[in-house]
Amino acid sequence: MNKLLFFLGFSILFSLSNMLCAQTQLISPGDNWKYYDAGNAPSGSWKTLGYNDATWASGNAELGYGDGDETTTTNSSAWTTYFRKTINVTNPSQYTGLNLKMIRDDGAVVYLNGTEIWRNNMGSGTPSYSTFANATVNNADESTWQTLSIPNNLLTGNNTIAVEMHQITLFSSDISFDFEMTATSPSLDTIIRGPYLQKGTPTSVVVRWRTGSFSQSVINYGTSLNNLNMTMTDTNSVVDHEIELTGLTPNTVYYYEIANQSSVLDSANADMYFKTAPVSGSSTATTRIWALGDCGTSNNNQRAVRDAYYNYIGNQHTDVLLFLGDNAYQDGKDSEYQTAVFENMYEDMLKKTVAWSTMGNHDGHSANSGSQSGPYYDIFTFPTLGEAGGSASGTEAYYSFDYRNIHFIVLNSEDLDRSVGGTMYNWCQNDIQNTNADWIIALWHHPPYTKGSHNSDIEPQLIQMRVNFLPMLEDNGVDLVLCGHSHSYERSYFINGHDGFTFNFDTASHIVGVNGYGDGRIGSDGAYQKTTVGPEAGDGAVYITAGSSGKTSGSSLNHPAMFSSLDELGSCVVEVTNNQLDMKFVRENGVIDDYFTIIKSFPTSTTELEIDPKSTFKIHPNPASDNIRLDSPLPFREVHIFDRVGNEVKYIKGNPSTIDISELAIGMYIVAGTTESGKHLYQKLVIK
Amino acid sequence: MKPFLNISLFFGILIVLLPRIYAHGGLDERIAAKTKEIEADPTNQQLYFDRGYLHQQHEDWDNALADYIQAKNLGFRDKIIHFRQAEVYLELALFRSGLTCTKLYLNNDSLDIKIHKLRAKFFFQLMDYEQSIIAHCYVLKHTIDLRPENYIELGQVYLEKDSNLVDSALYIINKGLKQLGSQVFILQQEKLNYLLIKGNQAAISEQFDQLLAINNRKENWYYQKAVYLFEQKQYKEALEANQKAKAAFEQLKPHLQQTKAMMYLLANIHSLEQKLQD
Ligand SMILES: [Fe+2]
Repeated sequence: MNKLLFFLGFSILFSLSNMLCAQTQLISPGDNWKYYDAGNAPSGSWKTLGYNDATWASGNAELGYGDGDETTTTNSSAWTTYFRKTINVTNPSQYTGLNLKMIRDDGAVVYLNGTEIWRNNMGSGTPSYSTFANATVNNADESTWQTLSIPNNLLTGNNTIAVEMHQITLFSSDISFDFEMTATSPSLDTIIRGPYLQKGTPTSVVVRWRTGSFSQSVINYGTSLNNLNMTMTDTNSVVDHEIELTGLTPNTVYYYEIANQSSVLDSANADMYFKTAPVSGSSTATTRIWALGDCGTSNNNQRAVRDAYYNYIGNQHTDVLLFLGDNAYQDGKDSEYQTAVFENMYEDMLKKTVAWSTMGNHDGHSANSGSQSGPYYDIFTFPTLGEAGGSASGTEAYYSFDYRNIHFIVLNSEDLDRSVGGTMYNWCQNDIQNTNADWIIALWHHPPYTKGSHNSDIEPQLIQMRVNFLPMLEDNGVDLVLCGHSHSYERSYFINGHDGFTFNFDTASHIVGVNGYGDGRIGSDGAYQKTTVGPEAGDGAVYITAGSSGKTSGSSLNHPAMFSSLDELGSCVVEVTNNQLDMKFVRENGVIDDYFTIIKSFPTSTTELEIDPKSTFKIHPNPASDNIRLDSPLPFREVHIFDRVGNEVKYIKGNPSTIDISELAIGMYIVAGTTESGKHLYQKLVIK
Repeated sequence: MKPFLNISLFFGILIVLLPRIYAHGGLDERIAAKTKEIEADPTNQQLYFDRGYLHQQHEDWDNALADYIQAKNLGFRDKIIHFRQAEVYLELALFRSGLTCTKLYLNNDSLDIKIHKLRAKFFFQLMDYEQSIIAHCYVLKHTIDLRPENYIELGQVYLEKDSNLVDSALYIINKGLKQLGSQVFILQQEKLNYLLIKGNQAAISEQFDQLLAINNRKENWYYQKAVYLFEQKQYKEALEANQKAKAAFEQLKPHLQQTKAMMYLLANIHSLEQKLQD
């Protein structure tokens, strides 16, 4: 039963595909057939091409009796009726396959030039005139077209189709026969890029591909491989195809195939699928992210890194693919993208995982963010209106998106204004304060910390991203930053607040969290802990410079913020499950040379958290210059004063009635009082 | 467009001052290789142009300029050199020289959008706002993929030209919102800035509501609205907005309440509350 269903499903799928192929009609429904209905078997080899059927009667299909819908009525007392038709095929080599359709009541065996090609509702063995069909065919089934696709084995010149139609019993009241045969030509067009997926959301995805010649864009898709029951078409003739599929179900696998107006160009199979993003929000499911930095060398190093990752994931799905820039050397040209990304490179991944990217300097050789033009902008489709979550940036140059419980922020460090108060900065600040995600991952090309083939102490883009963007990102709880540019792997401790030069890095003040100065590994120094309470609440991020997915370029690799600095090829795998983030650096030889874990504490309710925003206390006077008086509804057991960047500048044990603040510099401070029950109350203090 | 002294210029100077401890890196290597080629073939104009662009990417403006001029002296005539040289002049704040280079480019190609975009910047710096507006309008009219910045920059030119032209600036921003989408944050933010200049309370209040509408999280924008209303001495409304800010804050997941930025925001909310109660 299951086997039959599977077979039927497969046939339907096959015929659906074939409808879109270039088809030649060889036998049409209603065609004229020779038939033999004398109540016995014809003498001689009636199935073969050379058989002389001149004495047989002829008539147009549908042939049969008993239903009243026949065009030609045959002898109702025959247990088995025989049909023949000879067609002339001048050039059979142009066809790749034959598609057969038949109305049969009750059981039939079909021969092509004497060889059996189809048996339907008949038992095994050589049937005779008195062999009966397997099961009665009733009602709707009597007029249902049965289908079968077979390889082409037509001969040049004449070919004969011979059919024997058997009754189910001696007493059956009807038989029916009609037949269609078409031949499939190989597709006239081919895909030379893709398909690749872009701008994935819980309910939509953009599918893009490039064809050799101009054609329409057709995607057949559905949640079952055997039933691609939906179609999206764009009738414009183009070579660069882009179709957005909308109205999809979140977190669902869809199989798809690529076609044009006449042919299927890339047919459905178990690997041709995409998975819509889950609805954003907290989740215990795992999100798997693959990050590639400076990968675009188009060589075997790049392929080795790719294969090591493919090996690592096996059959598991990759949810998010991140390109960290410099995706195609030397200049990010379209032809370079072809060899560095699309052809003999990541095509297997790109057709099932949505790729996102930030622009590298080499991409910038041929593309321009000011006008959003050039290959980089032509190749990628990114959200500009917050379609994938996040605040609408209005530009593809920088944007954000959500995936499950993660918010991704993609910045442009290459060719746009990187200043504080610039448009990218303002957008980013609003965006990061607009997310409810559990995790925040930011990416751009030029790393804030590196002593690899680039130096974050002297190169302006690197310095500006560090000085301008890091404080804001850290103030808003960024967890992981991924960059490239230096062709090595450099991974930091759990750090916060380091926006100076290398020599300013201070392990005592810039490394945070109980295990912050360790390797971040469970079972070793312990995972990095991001807390929700206490003076280090919300502090701590890991910075990775991961630009070795295509080549290594050595150098001193001695940045003091880095726990691990490796002159090795590889890529980053980030797996996020609920409140745990695991990162692994998978080398080109499959060895995992570095890994770490961040664990965040997610109190489930505010009562678990030592904070009560409903209560506040007052400070008099405010602004102040020498002494302040605290007026709190609840007595404090201790009071902390923090400066603007969160450094503690004063600590008083007990419940002070006045505090001397005369030694504090002019500026803005936060006074945090901890009540006897452990609640934190905050108030702003201005010192003038 | 902000007054010109930008941070990249500052760090540009820093680079020159810092000793070159690390003589590696993709660009450094390529510059060194190009220099070797030049030594072997010192009259090759193309080599100077190539090295100039490498210097430019390295934000080493003076060396870039020197190479471009040398390439021109040796007969390099492709129009792109005028564009690149102009870009370098912009970084060096040599606006007149830059404008001259853009003219040379225009003689070859008057339709290219990027040259008009660059000219808009030079005119702005030279305080020729009328010409800057004309150049910006050309860019707006002919660019296929416009960004919010295209509108914001033009709006700022209007205001710089005459602070009474805030309606023109607003018109441009509204055009941007229509073209790119009403949810584009930085355009809505810029619109708020212009409305604040105009000072129409009802319109400003409405614009705060617009910003609230396009954001998932509301605590910051309720607070900003409360501050505005407080400044307008609308204490009752300010208190109401401030309480909404607090309520929105309370809705946040605990780990989001505890970032430095949110801790600071909450202190601000409390501070405003204190002021409103006093
Ligand atoms: Fe790079």
